[in-house]
Amino acid sequence: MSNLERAIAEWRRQMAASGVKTSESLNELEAHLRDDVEHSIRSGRSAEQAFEGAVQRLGSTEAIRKEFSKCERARCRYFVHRGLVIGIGVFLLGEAFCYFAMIPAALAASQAYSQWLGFSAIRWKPDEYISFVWRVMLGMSLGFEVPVVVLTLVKIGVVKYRFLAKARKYVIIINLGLAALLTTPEVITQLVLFLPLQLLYEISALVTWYWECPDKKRETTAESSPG
Amino acid sequence: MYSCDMIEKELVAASTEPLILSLLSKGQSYGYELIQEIRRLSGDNIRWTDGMLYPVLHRMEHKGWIKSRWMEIENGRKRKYYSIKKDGHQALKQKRKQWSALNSVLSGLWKEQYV
Repeated sequence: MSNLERAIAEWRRQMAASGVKTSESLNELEAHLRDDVEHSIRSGRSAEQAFEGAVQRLGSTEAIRKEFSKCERARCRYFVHRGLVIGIGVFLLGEAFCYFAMIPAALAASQAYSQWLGFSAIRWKPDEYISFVWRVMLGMSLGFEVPVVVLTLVKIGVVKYRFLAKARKYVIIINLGLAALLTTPEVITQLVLFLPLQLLYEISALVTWYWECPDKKRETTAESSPG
Repeated sequence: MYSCDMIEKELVAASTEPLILSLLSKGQSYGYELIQEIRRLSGDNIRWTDGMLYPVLHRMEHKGWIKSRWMEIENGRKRKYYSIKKDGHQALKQKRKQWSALNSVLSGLWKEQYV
């Protein structure tokens, strides 16, 4: 490794230590530094002079870190606000989906199921029915919030795909538990709640994986290219 | 180091976005090139602190005005190129109106005074 490479690596380490955290930003600043150094060397300066000049022109590390973190905070605020707005919309959508599509389907299925077993269909008492509908609607609407919450957390950098993949088995248990708790003690209605809940989680994980994909590719190539 | 023609800090800050949008509307570019281009076009009177450009670019990207992608250049190095998006053109149009309005007011006033 040449002196210049060592100096750049050390500079990068300092930038990271001072709080410029994302490797995306570090890669970009490093690319800039290399552009500047190359330009100076071409116009006749020594590598050392070129490096020092480039670092100086880049400005104080503290100021850069501050600007980046301001930027990051604004980004977080934006995604949290957007998450809230979408979350409210999705909650209402979940209620509607549940009331108009899922509950009729679940009731029909459970009726067919008991008939198939040879029982007469369950007769609902009004208060039981209302409580059932209310619970499934609440469960489903909260389930619909899962992608909104998960994807917002991913966007603001709290959660990564690896975490979602690891958490899968716990999520399955939680969803099964919720489904058992919120529906009638009968397999069909439980599945009708569990499957969409799990599907929503899987969709969130898939979207996260897709988002991270190009990032990973970028990082590995940028890291393995000392230029 | 600072010549008296150097444009003031506040004005430089206010003009950063329209300058970037205008440059990118001519074609894609990267941070270092944008800085050099502005320095050249302004006769060295606009000097951005190099490192401060990138948070601005990120903010503009986040607003959906510009987009970026890493491209490989010679000897395997990578550079992040920015290009303008449709919303960026729209924003530029707005900014252009505002700066032109300001410019025409000042020009009008100064003409009255000096001619």
